[in-house]
Amino acid sequence: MTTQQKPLKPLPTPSRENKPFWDGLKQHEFRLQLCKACGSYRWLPKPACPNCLSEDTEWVKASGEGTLWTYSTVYRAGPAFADDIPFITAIVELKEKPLKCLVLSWLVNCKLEDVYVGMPVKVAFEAIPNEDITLYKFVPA
Amino acid sequence: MAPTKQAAIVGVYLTEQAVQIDRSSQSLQLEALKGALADAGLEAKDLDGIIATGGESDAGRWSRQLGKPLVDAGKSCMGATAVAEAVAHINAGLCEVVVVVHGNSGFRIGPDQVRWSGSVVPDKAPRLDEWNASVWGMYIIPWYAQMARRHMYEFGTTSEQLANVAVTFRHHATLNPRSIMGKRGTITIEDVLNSRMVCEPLHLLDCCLANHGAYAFVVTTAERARNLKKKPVYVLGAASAVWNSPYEDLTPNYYPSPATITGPKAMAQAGVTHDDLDVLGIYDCFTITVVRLMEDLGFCKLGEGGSFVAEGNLTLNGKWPTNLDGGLLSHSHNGLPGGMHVVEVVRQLRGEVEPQRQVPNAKIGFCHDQGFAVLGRHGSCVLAVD
Ligand SMILES: [Zn+2]
Repeated sequence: MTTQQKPLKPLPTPSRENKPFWDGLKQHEFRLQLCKACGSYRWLPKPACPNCLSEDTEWVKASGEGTLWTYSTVYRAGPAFADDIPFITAIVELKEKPLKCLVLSWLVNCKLEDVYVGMPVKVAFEAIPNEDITLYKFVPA
Repeated sequence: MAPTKQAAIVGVYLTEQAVQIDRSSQSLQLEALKGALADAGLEAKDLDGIIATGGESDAGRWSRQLGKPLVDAGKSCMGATAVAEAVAHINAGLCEVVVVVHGNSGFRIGPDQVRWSGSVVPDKAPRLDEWNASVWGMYIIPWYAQMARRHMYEFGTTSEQLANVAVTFRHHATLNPRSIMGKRGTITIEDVLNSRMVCEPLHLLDCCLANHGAYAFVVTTAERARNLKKKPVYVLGAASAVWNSPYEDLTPNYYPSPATITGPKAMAQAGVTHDDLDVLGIYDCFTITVVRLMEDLGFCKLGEGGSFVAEGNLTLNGKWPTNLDGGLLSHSHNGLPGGMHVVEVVRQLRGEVEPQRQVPNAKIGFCHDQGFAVLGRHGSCVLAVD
């Protein structure tokens, strides 16, 4: 038991349905659902393909590459994020097509003045200390 | 063919709107509910349907408070969306008199919204829903900031253009003695650009207020409305649509939003076009929200919202006078504030606001609300007086 001086950042609760995704992160793979009926990738994970409604799905390792679709530099945030300010929230458009896969996360290892919409980025992995979970972030490619 | 008078808004009420109100949310809501009924010349016994959501307020609680079963006529508790829900329930014969009520105290919008249980800081991280964006430090402002950034990238929209929205609605607030920010006077584009950067590219003055207060309005049949206290404000059209989940899943693109469906539907039902509209109430949680909604509602083309607002179209003397109470940016944002725009447009159409902000001879009004990340949930309605 350790005593924290400030709140810890909240973490997601992986679902049984999407376990392959969270397991993939631990192996440094960013996995997407691929529809076996029509070949569309989708994000966020969903029970069925938004293109054809097929449930016939395979989890596949994605490229982890994309471009910065939009972002914000955040100067005000909750107490758990106080030490991170300013941080860059990022929505990344993955390379996978044809449906647009827009992934929300942070852009890290990047100077504020170097960020621009359209910049090439790639996924990075962050194992959370003392927790059984790995999160995904983006860094300049 | 004259449009059908689908229903009517017959009573409206606002409590005090202030940064802090030392009363419970329920007390504020009750004042609003009673006030809206009284404005209509109705009593609580006349009520048989309710739209109320948000924490401690729901239809079941209200039914016990009022001592009788009520029809739960909707879940949105927003503005035009709630109008659409109320009208649908009334025209289906499920109920006849619906009150839409919302109010809150002690609830803040911002990064503090992620609360940790108890007073002890946990030594394990709190766990949220699987895709809860708060994991990324997200709250309402970054969501809209990201939309603003994308709009700037695609269409060359500028911070100066966005600032026009804040400047316009602050001017309107100065004409409304009950608005929170009006007493601070008008602001300039430079004031907006020089205000603190909250989430780039949105400055403090690009963001709405986060305050306390309540509103309510009463919807009933057009027939019953004719015999009530105030001039009926008829609902000629109303529509709603949703296109993502709350603040976790993005639409595949920001464009087009469901406003492109609800706006034309409501106007088609009403048999009106944009040029027929005398006064607007447009959801203005952020400056960019208004720019985007004006585009998707067809007041201008996609990508032209920035120049559209900068041309002064939304000012009191502009082509489409909008948010003449000061809007969410400068009058009040009390949690689920879509109904604030309905209340203001109803009062404009009745001709009962202060003369300095009254649109002369306003006959047809339009309200639009939205929510979710971002532009994900929408309602539009067309209101009119004889
Ligand atoms: Zn498919």
